[in-house]
Amino acid sequence: MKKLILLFFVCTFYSAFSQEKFTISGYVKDAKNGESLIGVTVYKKNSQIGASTNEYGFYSLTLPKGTDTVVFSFIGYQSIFRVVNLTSNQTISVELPEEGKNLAEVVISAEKADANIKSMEMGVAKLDIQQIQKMPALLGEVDIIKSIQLLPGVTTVGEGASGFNVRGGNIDQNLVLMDEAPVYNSSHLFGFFSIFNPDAVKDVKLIKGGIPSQYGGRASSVLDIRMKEGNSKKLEVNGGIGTVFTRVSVEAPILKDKASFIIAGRRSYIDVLAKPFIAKRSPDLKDAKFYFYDLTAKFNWRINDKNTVFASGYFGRDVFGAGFKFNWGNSTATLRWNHIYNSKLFMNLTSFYSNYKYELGFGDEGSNQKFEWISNIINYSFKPDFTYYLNSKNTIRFGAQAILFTFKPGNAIITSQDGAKSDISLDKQYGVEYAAYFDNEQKLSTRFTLQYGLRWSFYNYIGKGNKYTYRDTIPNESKPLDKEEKIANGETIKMYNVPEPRLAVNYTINDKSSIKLGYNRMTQYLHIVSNTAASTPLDIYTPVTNNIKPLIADQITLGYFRNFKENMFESSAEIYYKDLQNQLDYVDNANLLLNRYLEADLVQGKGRAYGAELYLKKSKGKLNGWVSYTLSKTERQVRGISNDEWFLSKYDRTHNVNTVLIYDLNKRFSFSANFVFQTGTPATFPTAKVEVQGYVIPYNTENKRNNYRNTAYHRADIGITYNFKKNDRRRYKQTIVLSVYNVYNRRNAFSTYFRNNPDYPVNTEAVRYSVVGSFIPAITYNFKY
Amino acid sequence: MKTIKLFFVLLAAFVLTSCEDVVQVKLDKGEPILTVDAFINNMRSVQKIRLTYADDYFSQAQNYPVTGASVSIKDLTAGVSYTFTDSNGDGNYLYNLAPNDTLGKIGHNYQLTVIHQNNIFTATSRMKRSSKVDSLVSKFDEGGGFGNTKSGYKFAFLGFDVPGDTTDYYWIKSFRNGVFFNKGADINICIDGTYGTGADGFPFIPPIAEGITPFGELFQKFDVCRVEIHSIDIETYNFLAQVQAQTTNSGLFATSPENIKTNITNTTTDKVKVVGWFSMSAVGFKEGVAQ
Repeated sequence: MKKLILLFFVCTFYSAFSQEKFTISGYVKDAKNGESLIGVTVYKKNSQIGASTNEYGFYSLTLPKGTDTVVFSFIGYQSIFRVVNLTSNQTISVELPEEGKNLAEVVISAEKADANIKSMEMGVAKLDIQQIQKMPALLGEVDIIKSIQLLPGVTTVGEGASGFNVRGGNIDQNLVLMDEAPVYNSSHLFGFFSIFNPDAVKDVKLIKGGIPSQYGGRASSVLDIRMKEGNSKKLEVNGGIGTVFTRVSVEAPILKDKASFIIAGRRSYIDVLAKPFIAKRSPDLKDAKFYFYDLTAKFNWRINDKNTVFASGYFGRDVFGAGFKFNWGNSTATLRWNHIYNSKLFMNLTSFYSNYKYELGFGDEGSNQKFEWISNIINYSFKPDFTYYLNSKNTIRFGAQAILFTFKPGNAIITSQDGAKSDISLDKQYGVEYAAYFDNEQKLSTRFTLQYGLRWSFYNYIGKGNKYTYRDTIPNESKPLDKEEKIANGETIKMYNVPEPRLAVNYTINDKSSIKLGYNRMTQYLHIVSNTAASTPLDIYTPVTNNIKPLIADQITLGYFRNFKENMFESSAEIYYKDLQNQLDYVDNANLLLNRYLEADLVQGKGRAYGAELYLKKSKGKLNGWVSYTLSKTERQVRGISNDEWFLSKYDRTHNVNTVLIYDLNKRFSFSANFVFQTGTPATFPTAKVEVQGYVIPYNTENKRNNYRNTAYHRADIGITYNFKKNDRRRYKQTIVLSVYNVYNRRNAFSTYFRNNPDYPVNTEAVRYSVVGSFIPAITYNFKY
Repeated sequence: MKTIKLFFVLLAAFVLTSCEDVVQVKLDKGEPILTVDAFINNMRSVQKIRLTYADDYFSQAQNYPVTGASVSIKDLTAGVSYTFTDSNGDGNYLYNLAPNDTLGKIGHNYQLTVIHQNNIFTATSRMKRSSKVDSLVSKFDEGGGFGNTKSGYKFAFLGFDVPGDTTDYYWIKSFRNGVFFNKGADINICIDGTYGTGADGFPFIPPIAEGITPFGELFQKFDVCRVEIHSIDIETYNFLAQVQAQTTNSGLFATSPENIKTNITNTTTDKVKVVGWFSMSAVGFKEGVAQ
């Protein structure tokens, strides 16, 4: 091993000192609004030597001494050519102008549009926010999570399910980052709408495989969402009135080209519209509350060439109530500092706070009697990340992260009529996760590129708290408690550490095609506790404890990438195999809410997922969009469940077809359509009924889980966007979006359940529950100033 | 909790036109497993244990009775046995409680024995103390609302958890004009007076006290409401929670269906399966008239 490391350093540094070289570095921004651009290719003309801008728009490129032409290019923007005379390190920051429609054909040849072929990334999907905005959406609300669900390998249990499932993973296995702060529940009103305001989002990237070592903490995927920095050139106002939300965002420079901000807010108003009807029909519900809102804000200040600071925050709430209350929401705050030590060393320092809270309460007004329950997950984190652009062949990333988790699984108070309070709260739980990583992207030759790294994560489950020891006796039965110990503040209860190797290999066959191989191990130190078909905001999270082990996922992916017709078509075929250890499952009749001995009801088992994903995308021309097909299988095995045999996971979907088409007819009109087909979700159906105390209870005499499937899910949506003629002063831009969700009116099964006929109780019947029971038309008006 | 689930189901219906349709599903044939339904209390004069076979889910008839079994309960504390007989041959094994019988004494342990086709099935249960119903109140409700319910009277009871060291589990059964509300959704169970441990001696919280009037099942004027608080043990509490979960497993909050547990074991062979439950309950009750 030592020899290997030595060899690596020799190889790496040999190339560094062989020839006199200099580095150019700087930021690339959008000329129109000053937003930094992510993923811009910067390369030496007529060569394979190049780099791309990072999440903050920074690049560093080392070239041999002499005069060269450097090209900055990015899809949708005009390329910029700079002649540089390299005799010393230089800072070159550029602003790219947007591509004019008439220039398109000229620029195409200059574009490095084959980034998908050359980059190390595999299993990565980037979504263009402008494309998302054109896609037909549920109730006309542009939605990032719903758009992601149209990508290969991504599925959902159905409308009404929070989050999304990546390659058979549970929703808690996605690291959803909003400006680097994790978000625990990405949904408003269950899964109907996502919490991300599209007006404030700049870049969306989903990583499903070959996950680089700077990311960790979740098993299946990373959804990296970057918020806009705010227009640093002029005031910009965006807004819209939709069927569900009204939204507005304001962005403006504070110091031109130096500092800017964006504030974006949304609120649903269905409650306002429904109020007169409800008040008329049932006066006791006139105070019923059901609304949700979110507020996103970001500020950035470019202090000088070397230092930039960002502050961003998000606050969202869902509020429901009618004789009870049920509220939930995330709040996050992120502070970041970008520092350039020199032209080769870039640092981003992030510290964030994230708080996911939900509360539940009962109690009549005018009565003292009350039941209130509040639950939180609070994270504090500190995370330095460094990128060292050693030379044109090696880019080294290293860094570390520490996260302090505070779980408040249930702060519950009962108040009686005479005002006496009884506290049935559960103890808080604390955990600290540390990780350090190192990663190098090394170009071995013009064809071979390697990215290898190691992330080592450590986890410490600490007091103050109770340590419970259980005896594992009968499988699928609640475990009996052996011992309960009080643990002092900060004292370790249990430690874990997991080395997480990461590897990606790119073999570029030619300009049009490449083969990529990826391996990653991911570790997750928290689990969502949910035995419902779809996750709900009531689902609690539990940290890894002395009784609950961390979830470990190993994934290997192999892909073939090929572009056609001057990169007009991108295509890929990927296969993956994923092995999961310590997936959480539940004993029968588990009590997951307000249960001090929750761990006794949890069991852990194995999982495996494998599949193939085919993808064809056209991103240029009047007609663009994509078609994808996924063939996959996801299974689990848990002692005591389903006769100890492998059973289908509830996220298993054998076939999944997604089609997204967008057609820009002219400057005024664009049309869009989606089609989705998914094999029905696995489900457990009864084979018999038993009668006890007059109740007719479904029973599966084979005792097998997920022995049937719900009927297949398919759906088509259409949308039309109309751009108004700009007014005389050419300052307003207005669009109207008409959309129809579920256009052919299919009632897709969310679940199938079994019951006695309400009118003839002796008759038993199967009932299909469809969350969306008809087509849903919607109209949205958007404006931009 | 029920209220919240209902609220969201109705909200989804309102916003997204969610709907339910009866569909045809082809199911495998299940085994005819012996089902024992043995809930005994200290209240009525005739106690009943019902034995049936599990039937195909869609059989559209009551499950077949199991006849010719031998059924008895032994008071392990007092050492007395009580034999239940199926004199009508309909699977209902009955015993007439006499005043001096020890079947139904708080603190006593009981064992159920069923002998059927050379298999001996047994279960045990302890009769625990129960709370009493202090009073019943009714309130007129205009109806309407999300479920667009009819108008009528809503009953609620007032009662207190029995204070003391041990956690008490209760099953609150309610009846309208003598008819038991027997939908799985109407199962009203609690731990002390709430849904979690730790609130010893407290009054039953509103969702439990008001739960005796199931949603959409209001009382009309002069209807009689009867409330019974049955003492149960934690295993029976879990069993009823499971029955409730498995009979109402619909909508957005549906969980993975699972088989209900049983506290009855076949002491002869584990090859012959059995389902069902044996529980002994002490009962506190009260009746009231809607007005």
